[in-house]
Amino acid sequence: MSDYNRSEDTQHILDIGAGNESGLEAIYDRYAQRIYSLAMSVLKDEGLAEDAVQEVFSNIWQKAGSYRPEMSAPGTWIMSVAHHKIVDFYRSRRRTFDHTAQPEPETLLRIPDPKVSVEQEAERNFNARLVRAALLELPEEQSRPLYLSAWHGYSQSEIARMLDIPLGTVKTRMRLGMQKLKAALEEYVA
Amino acid sequence: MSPENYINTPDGNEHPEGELAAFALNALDDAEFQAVFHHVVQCLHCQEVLLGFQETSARLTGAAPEAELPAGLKGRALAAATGREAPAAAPLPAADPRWSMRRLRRWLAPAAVGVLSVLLAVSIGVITLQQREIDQLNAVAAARIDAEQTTVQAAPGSASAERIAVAASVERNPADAESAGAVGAAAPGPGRSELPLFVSSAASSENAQDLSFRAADEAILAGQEQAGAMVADAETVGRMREEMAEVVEATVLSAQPETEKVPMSSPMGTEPEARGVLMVEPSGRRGVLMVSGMPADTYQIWLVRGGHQVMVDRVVVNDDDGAGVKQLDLDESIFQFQQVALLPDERHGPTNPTGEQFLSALIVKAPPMPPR
Repeated sequence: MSDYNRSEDTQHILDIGAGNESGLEAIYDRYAQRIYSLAMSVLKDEGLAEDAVQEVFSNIWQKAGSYRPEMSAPGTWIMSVAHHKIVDFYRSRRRTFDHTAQPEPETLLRIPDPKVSVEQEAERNFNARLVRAALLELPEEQSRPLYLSAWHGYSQSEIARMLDIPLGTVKTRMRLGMQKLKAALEEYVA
Repeated sequence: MSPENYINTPDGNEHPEGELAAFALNALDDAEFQAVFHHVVQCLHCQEVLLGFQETSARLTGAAPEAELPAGLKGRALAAATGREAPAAAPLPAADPRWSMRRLRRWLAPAAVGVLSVLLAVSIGVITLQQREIDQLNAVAAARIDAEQTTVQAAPGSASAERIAVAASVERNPADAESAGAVGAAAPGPGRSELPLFVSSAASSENAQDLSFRAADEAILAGQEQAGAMVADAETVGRMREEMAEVVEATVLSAQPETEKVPMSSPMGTEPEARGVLMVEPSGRRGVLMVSGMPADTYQIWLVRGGHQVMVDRVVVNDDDGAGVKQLDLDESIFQFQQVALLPDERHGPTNPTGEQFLSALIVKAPPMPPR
């Protein structure tokens, strides 16, 4: 994210915290696509995903006043709120979901639809390509727990059951995977 | 929490550093999440480590496979967030979100959706017929009053004469009830407030919409044929209201995420079209049974536990769709039983469910969700 966008987003969140609806609209325009994509990835149902997105923006509206720019970037804060909300949404309804269905690793290779080349889309595509490239560089045993958790909402113990490996192994692989992904993304940006 | 995921710093403190990546991804189970959370809020060291992982997590989650953003979501999301009403451009907003077919479909098994679609269609037909009966009666009554009071005064072509003509036509030919209903629809009548609820519910669905409307059309056409024979007495209207109340109960119950749903099917496959769903409140004492694809009959509803069986109620299937709905209020939780079965009333006495089971299902309650 450019410094310009970062400072703009920060201002939008501060505006929301002050009760300014135009700030929320601006944040929607910039983040709704990736939040909805995440919701669809986790919930796999358009209606549920829409409900989850509405709850995410309600949460942003309510919590914006507690945002501290010095603690985290606006995008980090927004996606953190979104991911937690969507995963909670999923877990509170998980008995309606099919636990036997495992996401295919090919989802990693699914490239975003390059239909629109507006600035925001380009930024999102750039981030998505970067993350996927970094994930593909990881050993699959480390990347798999990451995207199962991030994109599908599974907890570590669910991943352990799904992959039929000990919970401790999942913890280790997830920790190593996140450390490597973090380093790779920092390296790309640098 | 795994001890190997803790590290000791020179200051002698123990930090759950190995859990922070999973914490940032919201991948910890409840107990671990709570433990890490309580540590992090007091530990600057872990907060710093966590911030790095949160940024990575945000970028990872922001790279989920792309899905097309639905049109109109923006207005709804912003309205929901800020507490103001959704823009008028939103297509057919439901009067109450509980009634949205989309929302219903989330909580229903596919079989139940089919049943519900049929029942909604039937309910639309029932409401339409009920309204038509009321309008017909209103028109007839108005005609009689007008005929008695204003026979001479009404000039040809006046509104009053028009009403008399319409009502007289209805009296002569009840099949004209459709047009009389249209006249009556200009003013609000009993039960009208319920009509848009169902219409908008059906209209807001997608596949179910066509099914519901088609079935509703058929019900209305069938109703037109029968309109002349129908007697809109208090008993008929009362029964319709009762049926509607049960459909409404089923609709509300089906929309609750905590509702337990037991899909039922023909155990021997002899009635492949017959389907059902038993929806039960978490207490197990109140629920609704919905069936479809059944031969017209009265069916006994049996609950079976070990060698003990109890007939708890009956459900009537008496229309061409083979659909029926029955609200159940039980003395003890249904989850105390192992099986639910439906048997035709005529061929079997009310003492033992040993005959042919039209529908059957094992009753298994989903385990409670751990608190988050």
